Amino acid sequence: MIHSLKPSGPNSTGRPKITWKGANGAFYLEIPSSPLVIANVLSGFDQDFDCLFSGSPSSSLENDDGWAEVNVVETRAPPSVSTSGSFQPPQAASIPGKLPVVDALSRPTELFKATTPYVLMVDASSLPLNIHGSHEPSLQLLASYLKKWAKTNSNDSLKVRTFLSDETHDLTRKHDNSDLY
Amino acid sequence: MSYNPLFIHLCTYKPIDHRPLKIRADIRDKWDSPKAEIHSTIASLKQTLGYKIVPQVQWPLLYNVLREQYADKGTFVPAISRVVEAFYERLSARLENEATAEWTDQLLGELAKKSKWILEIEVRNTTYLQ
Repeated sequence: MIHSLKPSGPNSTGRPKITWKGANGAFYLEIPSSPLVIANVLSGFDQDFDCLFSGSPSSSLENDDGWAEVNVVETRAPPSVSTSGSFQPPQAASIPGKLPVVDALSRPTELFKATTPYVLMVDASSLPLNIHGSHEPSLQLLASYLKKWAKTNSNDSLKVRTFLSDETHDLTRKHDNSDLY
Repeated sequence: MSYNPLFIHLCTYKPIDHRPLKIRADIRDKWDSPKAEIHSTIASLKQTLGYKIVPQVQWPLLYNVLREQYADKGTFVPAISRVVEAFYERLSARLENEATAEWTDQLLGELAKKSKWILEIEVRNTTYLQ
């Protein structure tokens, strides 16, 4: 559910896929190397079963009128629907038939680390400037940037680090966000 | 006489298991354990289908490729298990669906050709392997 908010990641390629080789006595479940979205998994499996023998979707499912059928029809839409780069309101197809199990969810401090948008809070009302963020690599980059470009004015007895001429931003103090959640 | 550790490693010729303890413990408790949810979904499909499809997961390979997505190691085994359970659940549901009766007949015909069936769980993008 959470990962479905990601603007990237067309779910047609990022979902697990079922194939079948009768001669080997085996079904194959391919796990993608992109994050798993359980709602896509379920409707995708229905599609895969449709194509298991024929290689093309069978028409028999279209007479069915359960939730599963709604998902199947929706996900057969052209890929352009699912690859849209903007945020979309939830569609019928994205209503999860099953929620993730509790054990599959990360602990609170990890849960939002992998998802966008990240939270960035800048408190410029005091010195030093305080920046809180939910994405640690971004904070590290920002800290390195400020460290690189901040200059100490040797004429200033307070040794405040500045940028360009006389801006009075101090070197930011980096905080991990772990206490936010 | 002293041995270079690398030399000893090459001699034993055993791949190093990079899986953290948490992953191995989860495989033991949430996958291999008879109490694990996966076993009831397998049994449930077997009851409907008449055939047991045995899942086979290459855990070390899978974890090696997917580790970066699972910073919280405790979520890895449950997430993979959930997907595998979904296979059994969707297949069971499909077999009970009147609308796909023709498909079910076809499946039964194919399954009758062999006595042993497996579900091989693989990673799609093997170029990620190092």
